[in-house]
Amino acid sequence: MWALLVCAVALFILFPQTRKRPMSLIEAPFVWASAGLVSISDGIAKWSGNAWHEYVALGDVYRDNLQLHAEINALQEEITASRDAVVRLDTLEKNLGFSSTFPKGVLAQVIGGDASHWFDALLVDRGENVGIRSGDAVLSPLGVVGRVAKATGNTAEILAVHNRGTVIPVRVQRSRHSGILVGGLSPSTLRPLSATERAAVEGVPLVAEMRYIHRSADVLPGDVVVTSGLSGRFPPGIPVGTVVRVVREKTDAFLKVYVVPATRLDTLEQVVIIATGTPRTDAGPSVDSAVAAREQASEVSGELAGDEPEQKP
Amino acid sequence: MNRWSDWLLALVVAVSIIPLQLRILPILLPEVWIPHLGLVLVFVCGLALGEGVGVVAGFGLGLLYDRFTAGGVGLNLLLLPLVGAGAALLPRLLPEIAMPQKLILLGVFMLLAELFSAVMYSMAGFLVFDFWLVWHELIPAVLMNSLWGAVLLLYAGDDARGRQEI
Repeated sequence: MWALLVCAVALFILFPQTRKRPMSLIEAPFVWASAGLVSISDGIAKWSGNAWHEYVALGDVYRDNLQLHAEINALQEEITASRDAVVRLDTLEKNLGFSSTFPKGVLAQVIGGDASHWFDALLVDRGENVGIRSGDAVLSPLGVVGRVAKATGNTAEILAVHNRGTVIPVRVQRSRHSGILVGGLSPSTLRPLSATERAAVEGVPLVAEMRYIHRSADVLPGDVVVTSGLSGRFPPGIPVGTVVRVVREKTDAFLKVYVVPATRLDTLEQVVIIATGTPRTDAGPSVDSAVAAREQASEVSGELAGDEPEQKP
Repeated sequence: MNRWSDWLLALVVAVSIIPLQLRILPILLPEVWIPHLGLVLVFVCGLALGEGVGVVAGFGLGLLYDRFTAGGVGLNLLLLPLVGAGAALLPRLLPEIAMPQKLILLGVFMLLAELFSAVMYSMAGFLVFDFWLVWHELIPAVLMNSLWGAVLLLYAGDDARGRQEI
């Protein structure tokens, strides 16, 4: 047995060319048929495997897809809420910081507009309980908003600076010329408008006119107009608007200076009211503006902190 | 207004009208499209329920609107009862009035009311009555008020006629 095996190995090693001989006529059909069967069975196996993984097992993929879509939607909502909270917090911090620069500044939340369409006005959630009185100055970090038209216990109605009823002593910031700002002019009074003027008054419901500036005064379009502080109600140096046009008429001793307001009512969320009255003692601590604003700020901060993902060590 | 449910409905409308106009409609509609709901409601009340209800509704809503309007001249307190009373007179003056005529008169009333407001505010120095005001404030307000009034009138039309016959 061992001798036969050794002989076979010796023949295999000594005559390797026997492996390269062509197949005989008898074995070729067997090899061809067996190779065909093997390739067919291999194809069937591959096809059935693919069919299972790509079609039958897709039920799991579909469920995973649904779950992932739901997770994406939830994350998108969280991102939107977080971004909104960041913007709100940023605005609140700015307003709170701005409010704290005035000893009698009261931060108030805008809760509505005017019941009639005739006035650009705001309704805020602070009133006489915190010392707000009719005529008080209303400011924002962007500039002067207007005056308090009416105040009740917990609300106040604010008339915007560009309305007809609002008159403010102002000054040109660059050249320091002072005058009186009167609101209530429609942008159509400035027609025809140049491209720069059109861009300046775009979307502005009303413009204001600065009066009683001598015709020799140095005032140019683009100059910033600020409060002069002469009325006692408005602190000095707060931006009111930007000069959009200066008209010098030969027969007029004064210039006609048209001013576009610095603030847009539709973008305001909080305003700062310089309260001139005495807060009511029975109003309680909840109406204190700074406390309420800080509570709101910490609330927003809490929301933000809650939205942050957990940090893994 | 004989049933208690009518009074309850009136109370709910009166309480909710200012929040609806100041807080909810500005979310849903552009500012120019927001109607003077009080004016519309008083007109429809006057026309549908008679002058008593029209004047009372006008007085109450006028008081409410003057509270929430920057122009403090009591204009709504004067205007809304007048509209309520005037709307109530229409079925008496024109007994056979049909819905298309009511809609036309609604438009006329809204135009007169807004014109009255504009003139009064101009005289009081709150507004400048010019072409811009007419084009950007008056006409859109009249159109929106008329549209909302027409919707209310068409909704309440048959019911109101039935009640007046009773």
